[in-house]
Amino acid sequence: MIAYTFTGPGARRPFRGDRWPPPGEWAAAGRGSRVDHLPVWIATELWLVELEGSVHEVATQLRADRGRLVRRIDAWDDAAAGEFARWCGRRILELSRAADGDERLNAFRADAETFAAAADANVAGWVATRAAAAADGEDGAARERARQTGWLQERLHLDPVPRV
Amino acid sequence: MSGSPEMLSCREVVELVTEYLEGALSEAEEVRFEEHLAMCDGCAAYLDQMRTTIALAGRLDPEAVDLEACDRLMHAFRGWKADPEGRAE
Repeated sequence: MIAYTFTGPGARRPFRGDRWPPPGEWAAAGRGSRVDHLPVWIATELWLVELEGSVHEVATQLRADRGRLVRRIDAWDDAAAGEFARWCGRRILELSRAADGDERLNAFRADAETFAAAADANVAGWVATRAAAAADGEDGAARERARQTGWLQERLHLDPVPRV
Repeated sequence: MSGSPEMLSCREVVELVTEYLEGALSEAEEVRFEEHLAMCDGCAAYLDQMRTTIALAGRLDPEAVDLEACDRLMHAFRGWKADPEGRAE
């Protein structure tokens, strides 16, 4: 199946300490995610990945015996990541203003305006999700992640079921 | 999907890093571990350091360590164990 995968710079496989082989070449232990889990895994580069052999989903991650990069999604770059981080920062402020006086949300407000750099994108998304959880419980958190997925889909023109 | 509601803490990641590197965690635990790493540069760097340390230590021949260095290391390890705060001298 075709899925998405975030990597470090130069297709570095997060957590494994090595790089994906060049596009088209198989690697053991393929990892990816569906579009609706992408915000959890945000990193520097976004790729389409083909997964093969015992493909199964564990929470937010697709796992397979092997995987190979198909092509990079160039629309996800530092500019897009910075936009996403700032969008999440504004969302944190909205949530905290809507619940003025709630100490849990006020604590998030102090950090919100610092999210401007591409490197902050994953953390900004997570903090916005926890702010939504503080405001509306875990249902609110799930809705916030869905909003973030929507942002990524629209900005990067991602298909829910990715095509090669 | 918001990811795991109960994100692992940095302390929990540090405690689990050896099991993660040995492949001893369940798949669900691995995913929770990796979700934390995806947003925590500090823990991701710690994992890299552990992986590097294991790779280097695995290549070290015990006879390549001179006696004086060996004595200093043993002294530090014993002092570390004796210190309830876990500080090496």
